[in-house]
Amino acid sequence: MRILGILLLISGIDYFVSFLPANPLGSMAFAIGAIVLGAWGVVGLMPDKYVFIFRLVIGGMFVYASIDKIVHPDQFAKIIYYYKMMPGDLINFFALILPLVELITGVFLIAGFWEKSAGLLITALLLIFLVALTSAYVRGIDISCGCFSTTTKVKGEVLSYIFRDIVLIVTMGMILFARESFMSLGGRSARNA
Amino acid sequence: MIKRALIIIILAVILAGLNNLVNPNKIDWVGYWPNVTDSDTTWFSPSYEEGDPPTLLLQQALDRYIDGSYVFLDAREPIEYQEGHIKGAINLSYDYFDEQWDSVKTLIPKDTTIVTYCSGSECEASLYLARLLVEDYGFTHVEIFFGGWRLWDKHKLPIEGHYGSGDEE
Repeated sequence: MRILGILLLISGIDYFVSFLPANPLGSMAFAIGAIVLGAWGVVGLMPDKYVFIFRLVIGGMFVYASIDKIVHPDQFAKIIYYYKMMPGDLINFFALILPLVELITGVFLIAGFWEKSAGLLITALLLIFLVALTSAYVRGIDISCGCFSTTTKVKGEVLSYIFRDIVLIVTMGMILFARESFMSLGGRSARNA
Repeated sequence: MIKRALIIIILAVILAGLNNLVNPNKIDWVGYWPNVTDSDTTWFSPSYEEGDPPTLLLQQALDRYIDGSYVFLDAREPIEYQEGHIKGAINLSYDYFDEQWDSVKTLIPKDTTIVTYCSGSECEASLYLARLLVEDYGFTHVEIFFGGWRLWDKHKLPIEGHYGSGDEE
């Protein structure tokens, strides 16, 4: 918990510094959330049952991230194309499906409905993003992330994206392995977990 | 857990289908995404000098074409342009610049990035046109695609014109 707190704290500050000009709303939300939760974790005051806050934060991020992509599948498809990782015939399919998966899993995670399944999918997505970002970084491709917005004009530091992604994966691990499920709409697996 | 994850994905496919029916920005389920990763070398016209506008590889030119916010200027003669050109490109022949400029300039916003090209690596019109736009007309974002018409056409990328085979119109 403490380690995660430190990670969150650093990533909150890092994110705030690197993305404020590009995406004020998203970066403020993520930075404040990460810093507050991070500080709480560092002090060691956060009990396990408050893991639901992470659910709200990550779920909220996924819902927020999905909206622009759902509205602009044409732009999102271009961003996927620029990553140069996916066979051309699958690009549009992914551009259409992926944002909806983000939206549904985000909502489910917030509501605590089928949260382990939604959490599993979100973790899988984060791992895919990690591979894509790392590969783009290694190949030195100049990409726009396509994380929260479909504009191709905003380019950030790929390393920061990778770091943020890792923090989210660690957090998801905590959610998936949490013993208590608090503030959850239920579903059998959640209650029995 | 896995079963529910699959149900979520199926739900996403259904909703994506619905979204793609009503969304004004809808796209085909299988799109046109050309791949030109093979054999592309950096070409320079013999007159290219340090400080000239930057040059583009075929893949970079293609990325800009797909982006859609760049203006492609065909620096060849009008008759060559009519024969066949990169889809969406505007003809601004270096040799006929004065005749064509007045009508072309209305089509180029000042802050757009311009990509110039001519027939291929050995032609210089794209370079001269790029220099002219930067030095005399105050454009700051100009790039040169030295691969030009020949390389574009060789890879069967989207073109327009009277030219027969490979015409994707």
